[in-house]
Amino acid sequence: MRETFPLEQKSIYLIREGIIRSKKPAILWSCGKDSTTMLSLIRDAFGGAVPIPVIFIDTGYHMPELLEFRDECVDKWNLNLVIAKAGLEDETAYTPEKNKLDCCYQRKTLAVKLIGSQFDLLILGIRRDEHGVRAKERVFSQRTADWTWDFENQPPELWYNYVLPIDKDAHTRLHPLLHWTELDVWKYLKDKQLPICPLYYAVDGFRFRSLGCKPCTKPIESDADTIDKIIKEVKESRIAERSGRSQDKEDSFAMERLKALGYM
Amino acid sequence: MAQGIRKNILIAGHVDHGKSTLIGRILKDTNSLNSIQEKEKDLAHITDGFSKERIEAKTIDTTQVFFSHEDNDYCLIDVPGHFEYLRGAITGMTEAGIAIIICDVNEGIKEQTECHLRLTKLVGIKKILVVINKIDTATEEHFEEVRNNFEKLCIDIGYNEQSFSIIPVSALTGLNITTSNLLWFKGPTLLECLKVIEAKEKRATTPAFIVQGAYNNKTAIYILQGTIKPQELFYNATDNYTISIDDFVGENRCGEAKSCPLINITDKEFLVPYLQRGSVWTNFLSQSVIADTVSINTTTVWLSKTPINKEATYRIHSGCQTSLCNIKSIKEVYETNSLHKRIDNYTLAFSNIGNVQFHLEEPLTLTSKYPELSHFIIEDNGEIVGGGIVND
Repeated sequence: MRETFPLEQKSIYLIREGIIRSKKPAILWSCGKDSTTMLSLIRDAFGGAVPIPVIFIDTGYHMPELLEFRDECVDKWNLNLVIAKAGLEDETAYTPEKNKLDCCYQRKTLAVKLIGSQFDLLILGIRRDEHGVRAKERVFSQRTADWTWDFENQPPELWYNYVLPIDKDAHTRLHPLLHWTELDVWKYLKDKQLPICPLYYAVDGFRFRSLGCKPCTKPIESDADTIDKIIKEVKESRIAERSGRSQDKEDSFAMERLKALGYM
Repeated sequence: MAQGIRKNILIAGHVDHGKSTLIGRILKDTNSLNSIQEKEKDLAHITDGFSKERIEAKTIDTTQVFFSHEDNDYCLIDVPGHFEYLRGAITGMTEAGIAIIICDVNEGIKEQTECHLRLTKLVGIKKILVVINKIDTATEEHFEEVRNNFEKLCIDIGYNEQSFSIIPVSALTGLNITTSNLLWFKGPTLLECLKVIEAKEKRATTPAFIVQGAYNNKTAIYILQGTIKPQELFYNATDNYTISIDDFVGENRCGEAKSCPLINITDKEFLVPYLQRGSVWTNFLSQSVIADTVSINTTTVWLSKTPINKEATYRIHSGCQTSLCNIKSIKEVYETNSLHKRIDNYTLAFSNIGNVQFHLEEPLTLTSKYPELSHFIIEDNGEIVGGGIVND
């Protein structure tokens, strides 16, 4: 049996709970290792199919290798891909050079809001060990009609009993990977022989450990050009996973402010 | 529900007795801090991720951190100690298999120490490790005194002598965490305790599954116990009905306990080719039937600021099962905001724990034989107002 099997079964239970009980569910897929793991778990939950729309947020700053990987997976798994764009009137108004957090909000959060308002449940691949604020999330996390996260008054979540919001303008964020670690995800990708975006593999002494927009994501020094080497590196590394992601580092609470406004 | 591949350990106790600091200390001394966490000057800040938590120096909501030590994987669950954040505390508790109850040696047992111990008992945590903290500021005699009080309290709440142990530590200075550096204490360190502590859950042996829902005329199930194979017959007591499992669908083909396969069934009489959400099925040959019921005796904790209304209709949820319900009786109520206080006014206000008998409008399969069928929540118009476990 795979080492991650118990984690997978818990995720499958949660994914089914969300999809069966909501009216219009969708998954947010960034093409990264976590949300790709989630696509695979959805396929296992429903006998090989991904029965819900798969939303990709196009910020305009993605790396070409990532977009290529996206299209390969869409073909391979027959995904119902929906590409979401914020539709900025002036593309030059919000750029990472001007203000990183504004850029994140305008190009990512607003794009999710625009498309997400059509759905009552969004499935996201965030994990507790990624970030201190993500560690505070519930599995079924409610967002109000204006998309804010009232994180000081989160409802209780007892065992595996969940209540969906009654307000039809509110929506639920389902986080079925909260209990996974970065290492678990890599072990799973390896054991299931799943497709992996090539940017994760080291080229000329550098690899991406976390994938984001090109201007705001820096590669780490690494010689891990195979999945076994990546697993070994993640196991031994004391460097934070998202240390290459500049929106987290604007200040200690940038993630909290982004999330309160609807960020993932 | 499966707890995953690691030991899930709750860290509970009274406010300011050192829960978050202990977590920071464990991570630091097991070399588990990452490059960002390492820069924190205050050990408690590692789990206090919200800005308000750091500014006001208190934990507002529950959180979880992962670490490994000597080939064992752990998840530490931090919970708030403040009475007003009880709902976050109980959220963390229901994910744990083992609990550390931390207590400041100079303060002794306080309201939330007792409250959290009562709640760990309620949510079904079987093993308790009492950690007497700030031992660098106290003597051995002092420790013995607090230990004696804890032994009495644990037994009073219903933990027998085999289900708890008590050790001294200092989270701030790192005494008796990973090394035996507390000279007068001859017992195990905290990490030695965590390594050997095991909580056995109570679970019937009869193979059984519960239906989560249907997809494309197939049935999505969660296996409560046993191994389930194609061609086996399963029986449902509510409808007095038997079905045969045809085969498993897709790659997730495991039929072991706590797995979630998708199955095809054979059923010559039903018009639909899948099974009803929430129905519970046991192996036909086992002869052990789980009956449904319209009346349940429970231990319930109330989580709403509005007290329970004995005339109202609520909705009960237990995993995939749900029904409207109302209250038949309330007995033996404990107020958790004060020490040793049993009240007999037969109502439940915020944080009160009591024995509540519910009447269910539709029969549900609720029993203490399987943990998943014994846990429930009470909903009032979208708000979770209570929760607890079914007693047989």
